[in-house]
Amino acid sequence: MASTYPNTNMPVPGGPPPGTNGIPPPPGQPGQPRDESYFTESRKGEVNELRQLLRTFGTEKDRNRKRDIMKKVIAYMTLGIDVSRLFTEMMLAIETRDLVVKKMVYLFLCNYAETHPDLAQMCTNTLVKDCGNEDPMVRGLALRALCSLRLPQMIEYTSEPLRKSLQDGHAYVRKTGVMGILKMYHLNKEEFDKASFNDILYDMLRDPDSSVVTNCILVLNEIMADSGGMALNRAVMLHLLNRIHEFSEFGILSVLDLVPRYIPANDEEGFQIMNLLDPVLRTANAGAVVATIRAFLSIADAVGKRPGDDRDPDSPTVDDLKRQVVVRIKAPLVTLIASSSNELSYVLLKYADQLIDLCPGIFDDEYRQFYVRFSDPTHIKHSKVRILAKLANPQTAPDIVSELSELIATVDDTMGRIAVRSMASIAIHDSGGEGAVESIARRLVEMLDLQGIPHVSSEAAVSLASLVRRHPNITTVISAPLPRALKYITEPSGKAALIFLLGECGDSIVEAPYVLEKVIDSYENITDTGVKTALLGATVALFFKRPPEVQLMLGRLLKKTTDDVSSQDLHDRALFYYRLLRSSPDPTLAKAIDDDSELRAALMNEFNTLCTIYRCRAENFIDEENLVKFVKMPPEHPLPRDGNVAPIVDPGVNNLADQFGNASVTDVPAPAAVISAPAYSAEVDLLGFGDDLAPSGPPPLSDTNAEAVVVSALQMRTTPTSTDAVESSLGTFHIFTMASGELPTEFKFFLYCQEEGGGYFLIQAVAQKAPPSLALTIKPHGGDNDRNKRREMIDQLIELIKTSLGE
Amino acid sequence: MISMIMVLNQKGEIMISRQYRDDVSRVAADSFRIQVRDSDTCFQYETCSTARHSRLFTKGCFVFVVSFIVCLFLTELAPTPLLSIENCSFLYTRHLNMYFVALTKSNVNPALVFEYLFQKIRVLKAYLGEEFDESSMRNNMTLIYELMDETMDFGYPQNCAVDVLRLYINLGNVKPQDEPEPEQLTKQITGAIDWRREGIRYKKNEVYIDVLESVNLLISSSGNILRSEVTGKVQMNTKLTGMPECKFGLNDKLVIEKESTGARKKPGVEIDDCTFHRCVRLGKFDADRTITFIPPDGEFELMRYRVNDNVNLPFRLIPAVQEEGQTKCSINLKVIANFSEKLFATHVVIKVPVPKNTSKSKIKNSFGRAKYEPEQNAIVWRIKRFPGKAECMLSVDLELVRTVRPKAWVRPPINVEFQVPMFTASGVHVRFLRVYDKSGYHTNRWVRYITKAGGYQVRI
Repeated sequence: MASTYPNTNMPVPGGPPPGTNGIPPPPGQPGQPRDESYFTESRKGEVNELRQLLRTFGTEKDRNRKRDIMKKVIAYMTLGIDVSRLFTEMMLAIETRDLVVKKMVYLFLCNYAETHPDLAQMCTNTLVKDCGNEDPMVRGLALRALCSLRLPQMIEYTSEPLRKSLQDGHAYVRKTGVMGILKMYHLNKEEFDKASFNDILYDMLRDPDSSVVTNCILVLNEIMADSGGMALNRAVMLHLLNRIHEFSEFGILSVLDLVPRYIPANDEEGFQIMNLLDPVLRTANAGAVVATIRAFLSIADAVGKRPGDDRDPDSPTVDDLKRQVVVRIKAPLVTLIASSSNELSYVLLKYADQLIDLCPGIFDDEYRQFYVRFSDPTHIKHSKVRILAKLANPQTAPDIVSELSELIATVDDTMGRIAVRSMASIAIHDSGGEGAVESIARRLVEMLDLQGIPHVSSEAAVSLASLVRRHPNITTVISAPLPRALKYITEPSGKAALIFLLGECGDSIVEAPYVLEKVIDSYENITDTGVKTALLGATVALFFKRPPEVQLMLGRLLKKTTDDVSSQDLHDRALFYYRLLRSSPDPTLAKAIDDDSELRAALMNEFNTLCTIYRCRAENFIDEENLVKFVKMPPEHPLPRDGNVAPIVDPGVNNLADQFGNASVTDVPAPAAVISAPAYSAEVDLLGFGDDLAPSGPPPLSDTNAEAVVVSALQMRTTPTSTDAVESSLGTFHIFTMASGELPTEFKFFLYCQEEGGGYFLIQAVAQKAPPSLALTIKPHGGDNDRNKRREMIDQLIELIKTSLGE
Repeated sequence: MISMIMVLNQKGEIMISRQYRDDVSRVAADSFRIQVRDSDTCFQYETCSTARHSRLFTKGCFVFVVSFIVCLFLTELAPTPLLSIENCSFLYTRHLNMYFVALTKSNVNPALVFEYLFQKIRVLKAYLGEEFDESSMRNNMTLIYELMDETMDFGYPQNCAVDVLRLYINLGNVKPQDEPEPEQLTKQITGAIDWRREGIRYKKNEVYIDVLESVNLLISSSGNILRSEVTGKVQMNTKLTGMPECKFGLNDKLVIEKESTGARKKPGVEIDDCTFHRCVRLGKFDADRTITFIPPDGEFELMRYRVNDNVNLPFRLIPAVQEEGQTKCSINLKVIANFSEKLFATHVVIKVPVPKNTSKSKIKNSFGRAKYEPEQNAIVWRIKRFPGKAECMLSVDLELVRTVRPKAWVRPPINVEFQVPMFTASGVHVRFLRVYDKSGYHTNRWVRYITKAGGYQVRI
């Protein structure tokens, strides 16, 4: 909650101001008007002086003088001087028409409320009174101050003005009120539940002012975090999307963040939403662009055809659609990376990286955009070089490799290493086309001899080692300089890699055993366990290639390593090899490949959050209480997959008035049908878009005064084939489905319909599969009170349902 | 949502902090102690002074912030703009020597947070001047808190448009405007066109358009162009009465092709991609590529664009480097200005790198001033005015000191800085700007073009 107010480290009274070596700044420094600096040294009694000043406040006529007095008080407060003694005087000053003064008094209040709850309580009345002020600005400010006091005992005072503010004529007050609700929620959850603001908030999604709507979405998302965020249905989503051009650059994000949770009713609607959002990609706000990308990808996910789906064979698959999305967003993303500030470029590069992983190949032709600029900060350079490796294809690989080799000699060590590694990764993934592997291997071999830059030669050795694992046939290319390189590579990781290579290339290097023998003889001088382990592995490998030469030295090495107690791992390994060799089994070892596809999929779900930047799941860096798992809206849709949908109007293309806020809620076309989301009380018809055909939402389920009619074990000839078929045939009788499902032994339907008189019927139907039978529970609600007439209606209903289900 | 915003000065002291939520305060003190123990003593002084000045912090929160400061100021690697300490993420950016930091404990959209921080700095610039610094921040403490509260409520960005904020927060450099009626005021604060208020009046109606381009070039040592690209932006300064509707046109290839019937016009420029200020009607742009908008009052950035093809490079550089043994090296450089002789480039600075062990240099140059600057390890050649189509030469003979351990010279690229007024490297030019207003007043329009070097580099 907002209130630990100003914390500054202004010079503390009595102590020297920081950075001036104890000498106070000379008065009247040039460029610093004297009357501007309130932070001069204070003496005791200044607070009393202030009190004197405040007493004259009421009689003071000059507005600026008044403001100056207030500023002085606030300045003292930010210095950390306790001016809470002035509370009463400040309270008197609250009665003013000057907003600036008023704001400062509120600031003062919020700052001392927590430490002086009794005093704060005194001023509540004034604040509540200000909430009814004629000036909307004052109402808003007072409300914000009231909600920011952070005193649980004040809840009873706040809830009433809050409720009133939600109906205020001015959007500024409403928007502040909505945020106030959230503050109240965090202050006292029980009181909040009692006040039941939820339904009002859902209603306010229709507010004509976009900033109010934005706050409503944000607040609902946070309040409903436990149930996966704000309840969402088609009507709400379409309503918001139709107004999306009215939202401010930050407000638009709240709507865009909802889209990934929405499941389009059918393919056509999905594409309509994408078209509607397309212009957002041209905004200069990077946040909005990335949010749009996420929305697109999620729609592609929902709309695309999956393997095993029995839909039209011509419709595009999920992967195709995602590729199309990435193709579309490539240009805007690249522009933003090229023209944004460093911080944003860094963030966007991470997103680009993830998209490249998702759809390899699409960014390839833009590889020049990822060339490192001399002026880029290091972290951007690193990200770019890592991405460059992923953009290699047979056409681009030569350019990329030569660019990378330019980078290995830079001053930045890490940069050199990453460049070498990236180069190797092109070879390992074999993305460079024919001959690339050999040419990269040659370059890496040349780097082994770069004595001037030890970290590069070491990294080259490590890269070669991984390269050999992937492409064993290149051993002939690289073998020659290995024994020589072993002499001058000093870094342990490089040394270990070289020793490994010597073992692997034992066939083509004549002197390999003798080089290794020297290392074994100086075993005592090796400090790094990695090198020791590599030595052991290499010697064993070499033993299988050239047993007569290696046998003796292997024996010696095994003795040394089993005696070595510095590393448990090494010791165990040596014993393992020893026993393995004694029983002489087949020396092939399984190679495990690191597979992170699962992580990538998980990260894709959290696109446009910090997850991408840190490259780990939210659970790993967000505390449990802050972890929000947004869920998709419930998947039932009132529309059949291939039915017609109410078109989404794209405002703004031709209709200027629409775009600039004159559009009222009633301009929004009513969607064909409405269901309310089951995530919260079913009573709320979110937008009240009743349709002539459908009843205006299902009636309350909790109503029990009408008695239920239960019909069990009706004989049926067949069982229904699928829930969809039944739903559509029920739909023709104007009986609507709330939920349905198939279990191994039975089908279940929850239905509702409306009679002419306005009454409702709630129906639960359970159809057994074998033997085919039907059990119905029908609950009438409202409408005609004549029992016989009602009974007649119910009988008719039963007949209708029976026909739909299988007769 | 953002839990806290703070502003730190260069020493890592907290100048301003505004806590929007209290979840950043629950932290173990351990992380702090470990961090401090690992760092050196000069830092401990800093923490002490910070500790003294941040008495108002709740204990845990303070610990948190300090460990961030440790990371920021003491890690030798350039830290990334996002740091995660104890499950709290710190996102930060710089203005002069101040750090603007946002703290959050939830899984936010990082781009949003950065956009907010930038917007915040933009707002402060509008209030305190382009180059606002520590002391101006301190002198306007109340104003800054007012802005902090108005732009963000409970961790969510609220109203960040400068023009609207100006209406009801008029401290600082911003001149108080005629106070509008409360009715109109709140409409403005929350209205759809939050970038312009109604009832603006000017005696003379004027629009200034600046087309600013920066050329990025990278040429390999063999003379191939590795990358050439122009990023441009169109900046406007509007002084217009009322709520005028503007229509703006560049020589965009797609538009020109549509308009020209025969082969009478020059081909337009192929703009690869562009983004716009939020006042531009994007739907209309997508439909027929016209740029229409109701402009904000005063300065703003209308659009940014990127052009990759057919870049007119303003300068051509032909370097030749010869290393003769270990003690001598000679560099020859020819620079040709590739733009029309009517124009000229200003502030041309060419930095030719030389090896670190250079002891003597003999420089011959046709014009401008060239000098060996050891601290930059480069010959810096400055030319104040470089006429179009001109050619000039630089030849340098270097004597190198022998070093104990010879290390190959890494040969950094030659770097060029320049400005060419009234020239666009992409070829973009403004075709028209029409202003429609009910009163039908006359508008004066002024257009300027400047091309600057972004990263203009030639490898040797």
